[in-house]
Amino acid sequence: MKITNGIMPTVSRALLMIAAVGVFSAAYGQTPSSSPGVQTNTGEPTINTSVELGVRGLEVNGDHEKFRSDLNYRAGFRLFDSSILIEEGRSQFRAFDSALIQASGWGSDPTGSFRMNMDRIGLYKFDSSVRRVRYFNNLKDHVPTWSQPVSTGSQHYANTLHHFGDFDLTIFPERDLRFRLGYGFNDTKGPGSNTLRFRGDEFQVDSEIDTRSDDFRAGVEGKLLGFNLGVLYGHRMFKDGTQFIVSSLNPGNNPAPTTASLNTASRIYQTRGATNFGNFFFQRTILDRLDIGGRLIYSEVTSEVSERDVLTGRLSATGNIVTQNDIVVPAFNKRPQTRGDLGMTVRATSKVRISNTFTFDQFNISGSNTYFEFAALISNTGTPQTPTTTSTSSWRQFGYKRYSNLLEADFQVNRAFAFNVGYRYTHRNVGVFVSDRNLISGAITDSGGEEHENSTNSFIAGAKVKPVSNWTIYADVERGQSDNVFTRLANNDNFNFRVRSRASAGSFTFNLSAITKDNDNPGTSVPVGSGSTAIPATEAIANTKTRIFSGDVEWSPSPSFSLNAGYTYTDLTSNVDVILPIGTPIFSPTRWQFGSSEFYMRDSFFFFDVFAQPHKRISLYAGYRFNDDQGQGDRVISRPQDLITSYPMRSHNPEVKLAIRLTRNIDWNLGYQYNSYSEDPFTSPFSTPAILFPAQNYTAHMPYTSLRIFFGPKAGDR
Amino acid sequence: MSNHKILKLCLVVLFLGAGVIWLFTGSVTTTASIIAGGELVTATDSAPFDDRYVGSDTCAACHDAQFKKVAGTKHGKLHTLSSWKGKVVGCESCHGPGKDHVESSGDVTKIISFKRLDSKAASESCLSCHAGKEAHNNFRRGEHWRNNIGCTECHAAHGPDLPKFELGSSIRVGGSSAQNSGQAEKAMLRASDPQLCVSCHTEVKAQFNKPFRHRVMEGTMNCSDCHNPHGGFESKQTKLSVGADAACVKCHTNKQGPFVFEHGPLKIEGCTACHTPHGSANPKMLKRRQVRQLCLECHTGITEELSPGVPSFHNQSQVRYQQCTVCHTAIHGSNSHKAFFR
Repeated sequence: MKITNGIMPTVSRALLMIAAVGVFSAAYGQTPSSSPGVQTNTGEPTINTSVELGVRGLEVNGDHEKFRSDLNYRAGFRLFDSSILIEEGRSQFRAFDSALIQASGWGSDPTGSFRMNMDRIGLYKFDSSVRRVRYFNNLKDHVPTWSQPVSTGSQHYANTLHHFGDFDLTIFPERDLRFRLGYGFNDTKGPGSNTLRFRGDEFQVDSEIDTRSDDFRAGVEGKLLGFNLGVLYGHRMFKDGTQFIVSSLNPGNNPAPTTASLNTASRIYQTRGATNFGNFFFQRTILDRLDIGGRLIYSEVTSEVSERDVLTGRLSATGNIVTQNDIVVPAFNKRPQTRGDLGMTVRATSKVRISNTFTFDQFNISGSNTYFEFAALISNTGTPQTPTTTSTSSWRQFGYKRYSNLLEADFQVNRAFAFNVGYRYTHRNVGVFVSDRNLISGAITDSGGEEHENSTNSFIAGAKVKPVSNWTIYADVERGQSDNVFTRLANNDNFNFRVRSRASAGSFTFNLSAITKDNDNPGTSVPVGSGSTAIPATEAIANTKTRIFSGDVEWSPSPSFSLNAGYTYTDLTSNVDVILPIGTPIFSPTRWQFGSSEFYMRDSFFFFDVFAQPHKRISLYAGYRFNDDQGQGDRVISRPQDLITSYPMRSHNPEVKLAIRLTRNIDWNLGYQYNSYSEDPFTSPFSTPAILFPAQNYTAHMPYTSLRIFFGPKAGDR
Repeated sequence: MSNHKILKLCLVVLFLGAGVIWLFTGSVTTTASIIAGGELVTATDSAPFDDRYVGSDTCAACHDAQFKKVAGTKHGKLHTLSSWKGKVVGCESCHGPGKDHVESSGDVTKIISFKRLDSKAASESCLSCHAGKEAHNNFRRGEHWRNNIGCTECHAAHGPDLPKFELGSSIRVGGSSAQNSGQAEKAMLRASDPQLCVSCHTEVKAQFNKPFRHRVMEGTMNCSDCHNPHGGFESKQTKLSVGADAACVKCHTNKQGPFVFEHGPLKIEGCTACHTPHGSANPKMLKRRQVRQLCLECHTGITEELSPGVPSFHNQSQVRYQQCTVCHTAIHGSNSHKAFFR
């Protein structure tokens, strides 16, 4: 009911808006033009509808939590892909020319969507979508309780309902002056869990997730002095009222009897956020040779936070009892951001175009909080202890500035061959400034901040070749540096290459593609450690290689038969030098070790879909998906400082479906889906205590039956 | 006055100035044109309606099927709008004046035939009307343009065929079994949004079949929810949301911040620094199976600037210190703890 309450006002508002549009449009008349236009058909509205309602059964064997985390289908009634297309006649009082309503997945599906697009030419265009996601996540290999020898679940599980929607209305869409209105909402609610640190231990706590945002947009677009111009103002309201609760004794992750425990705990986040933004854009084509367009966005995001913790429990080591531990943290943050973009394309000749694109992005995040903590303690024999008080304030400023310029030229040599070349330069500056103050002692810790800037250069080239009219090859390459490696800060040397081929021959269509990406991020480590275990400054790299080969074929020899099959192989190898602290029981005392972090993907994906209509009343569909990731293969860790992981897994998803045409308007469907998932168990051989993430295998049988009901002139065409 | 205040002031002045000019000036039309065989042909907008034009009814005499099809589309209804009065509408608004074509008994060289145009020239025709919308403004500088993917590769200007009903998987779908089989598509698309995109981007279809994925192939999302296929200023043609934020923030609202203690990569590199949005076998669509592996590849002491190495007590032979987010729960940003503990 809570959820219903949350979404109903929104739906009501949307319906009201639609009704208003309908009334407005019905009263609006059009003046026919004497121009030589295409005469539209007159007459009654045309309705093409296909609605499928049915029921699904479900049997899951194996790991239900993994099944729910992956798929989360349930047994019960559901709405399959359904659509209604209404095309109105030429009545002067029509509310719309066409309305397309699509819905899918409501009922027992984990995701449901409802989309409605309607318009009346010359008057309005309305696009809307409302979606629902039933999100579940509880995995044994993600944030497990580290003290358990065999993981039984995640300490960060979630079981939430997420509703989100968008409504956009454009008034006079074909005119030189257009108005745009929009509204969106986001709503997430449901139980979950998180971990809370208290006196040196971690505790899994229940949480009640509750976030909501509402977005409003209004703008105007049009032509002025030959320019296409537009301004849009937007506002977002965000609130987060997530709570964490411990209502009974919680011993924490550390099982030792002398460690901290929680008796009760509550944490309430009250976050109120607001975003205000303005967007201005322009575009003009001048003398048919120069296309110029630009955009300027200014946004200001603020958040006001009030966190309050109330905890009681026991301290580690001393065994003192915490009778009252109150934490209050008010915080305020602000992020003004400016983005500017300018693009120009000059048609130098009928075959040559030169473009330049400049972008600029700048923001500053300034945030501050005041942290106040009070703890009253008694000894385990009941003697009052001296209470402790902590009061600090923190201030952070995060600055970012980036600009980039891309100059490119493309040449249309002839209809069969075109190529392009380009050069991109990027410069950015990142700075962090830190100041902390102890409000009791007055001591100030001011780091003075860090600042870093870098520049990158990239060259791009591409070509399109059309050897024959039904075969096209696309290829592009990029060589240079990218700055999207914040963490290592050196520029990322990359070489990316992509080629695609699309060809058709008779009833066959062939697609082939190959993609390679090579990224090298060189760096030098800083000296760490001392004495014989010291690691001097050493050259260190982060290297990622990706190879993707993909192809598919479609064969449609007749309207009553089609086949589509494809295969994609993805090979990803990431090798990153790392320096880790390794201590007891392997080294004592702890020492730094130079190791490597490796990740592998060797994934094969194969699919086929077959459709056949052996008889005018019977249609058959069969589909199959196979995913097999061999991961790291036989590579094993031989040193504690190495991390070698992958996700070896296999899944099979066959499906068959039979449709029997009962009447001109009704089909009866009978289908069956099977999901088989298996993965390799994972363990860390150099971990203490040894922990095992067991294989989370499952199989799921999902039979279903449904009726698809057709209306409209196309109903009999199937 | 700070830079931001100056910018705000400029925006307000710009907005007000535009309004004032608007009030005191009339609407100004532009001349649009397309290239056919290297020759510039004026086709629409303020082009004079002269005796070179024969009208759509004349076209229908030979091209009846196309005429009937386009009649039901917006393209076929523009003549009903008072705002288009005096402009060329109908077949000749795209194909150019038809008199020579008619008088030469259908000589295809005497009319603009899109089959004979390269994709850029064909797109120029569409852009002569559609360029003014913000989403389309960067098409001439986008990835698809660069790779010669024109408007008509995805859109059917005469209106797409209403697809014949065909069975398809109700969970996952292949290229031939249209996602919304038997259903019409908006924006005159030739097929539904994900199907159209993955018909070229075949490797993405494989990614959307991983255990953890955004539910695009299931129909809950579209590729165009995050990407602008018409080009844009962002990498990978991604969209912005809520002003200048990443597309992800539109739905993942609690990651928008701002926070007192920002986790730098989130805002600077974006969510894809740690996540693979199309799909992954790793939990939470992370780039690595183990969270610590992801963290340690940055916080490793290789450099100290902006990404400090882990402290020495994070003994990596202890399972406790291999589960980073057990303690660092607020890894997307925190308002109360500089190490993201809460």
